[in-house]
Amino acid sequence: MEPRRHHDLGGLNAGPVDRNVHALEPWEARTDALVYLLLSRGAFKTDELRREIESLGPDEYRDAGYYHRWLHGTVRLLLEKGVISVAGLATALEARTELNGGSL
Amino acid sequence: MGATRVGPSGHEAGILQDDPSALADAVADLVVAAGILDRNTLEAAVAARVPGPPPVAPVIVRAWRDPEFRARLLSDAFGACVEAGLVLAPTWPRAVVLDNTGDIHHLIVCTLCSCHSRPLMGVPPAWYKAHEYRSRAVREPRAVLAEFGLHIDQARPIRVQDASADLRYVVLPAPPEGWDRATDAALATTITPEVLLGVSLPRLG
Amino acid sequence: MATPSEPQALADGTPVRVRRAFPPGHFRTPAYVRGKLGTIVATCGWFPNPEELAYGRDGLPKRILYRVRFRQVDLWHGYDGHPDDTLDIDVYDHWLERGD
Repeated sequence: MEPRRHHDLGGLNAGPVDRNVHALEPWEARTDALVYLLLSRGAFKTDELRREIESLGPDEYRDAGYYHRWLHGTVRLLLEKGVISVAGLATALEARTELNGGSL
Repeated sequence: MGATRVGPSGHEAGILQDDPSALADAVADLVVAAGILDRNTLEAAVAARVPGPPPVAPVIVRAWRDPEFRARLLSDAFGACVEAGLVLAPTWPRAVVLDNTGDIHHLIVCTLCSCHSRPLMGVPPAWYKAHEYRSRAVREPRAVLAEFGLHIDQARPIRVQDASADLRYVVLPAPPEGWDRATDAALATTITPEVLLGVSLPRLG
Repeated sequence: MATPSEPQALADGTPVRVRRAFPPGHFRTPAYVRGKLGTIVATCGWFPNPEELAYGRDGLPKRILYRVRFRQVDLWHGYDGHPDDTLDIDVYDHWLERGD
């Protein structure tokens, strides 16, 4: 058996395909739009995003949905590249959590 | 608020527990404030992400009607799509159209992530991005197709395309029964992401 | 892969074996084709190396990307579809060695 990382799924056993089709959740649509626009502006490259997503632990990779992985990778890249700051993200997240009616 | 905690392993400690909606909004606020994206462009892009017909649908219909155009689509997909009026930014990964009208049935998967041709197909269905499809499509394509209700004759070879690198793929399906009596608009509605990925066949009415 | 070398163009029809390697970092060659014997069926073009792009570098020199065809019976033990069932995957030149 060749060694493989947890994102390398080809040929593994798995259950039936869930063929249900549904529209994106609003936050998924926002994440999708953000990623494509940031890629088109050269904020980061597709392979950088893939690398970040692959750096999730096996459990997180499996349990996180597709757009959760994208959002994670985007946040990490923007932090690493200094586009956003840790403190700035904390402040913006707090403001949005409050605005959206949630709590920290 | 785990988005800002980076553990010793380099993994985010709690990002997956965050409210993704607040996090997506917060990131959007920051990149807008940084001047990387403008708010109107972003909101327009978000609003455009609703289910709809794949952009390449009318191009496929034209390929059914016009054999010379069909040949161009198969040899230079982006060139033919631009000729047919699609707007394709130079930054989009190039696409290749695989011919499902002949002896071989093509099926498309991306086992390493979920590569797909966004400008031709639109947003892919959730199953295309799910572990089950990414795991099984390469090793047991007939069983996976059967789950989609598509039974490929045992005498017809299947070719799986794993979209692993810089190119993206869609299939050119065979036209549905009765296509020569149908309008272009009716034919275009038979082209779905499922059809373009090779797990379904176009069907009229 | 550790040692980039000047890519040598391989003609369509050339038998190739995918290298068995498991380098650190990001790469686009799945486990299920590593060590397997296939055939070049197309040259997709020259592309920046994704293994470098993943770390914010320029990916130069570009690598040649080939479409490689495998017989499914060569990939999977006990494959029970049509004997002519195949799988195509795009592989960068530095992951390929001549298979003859």
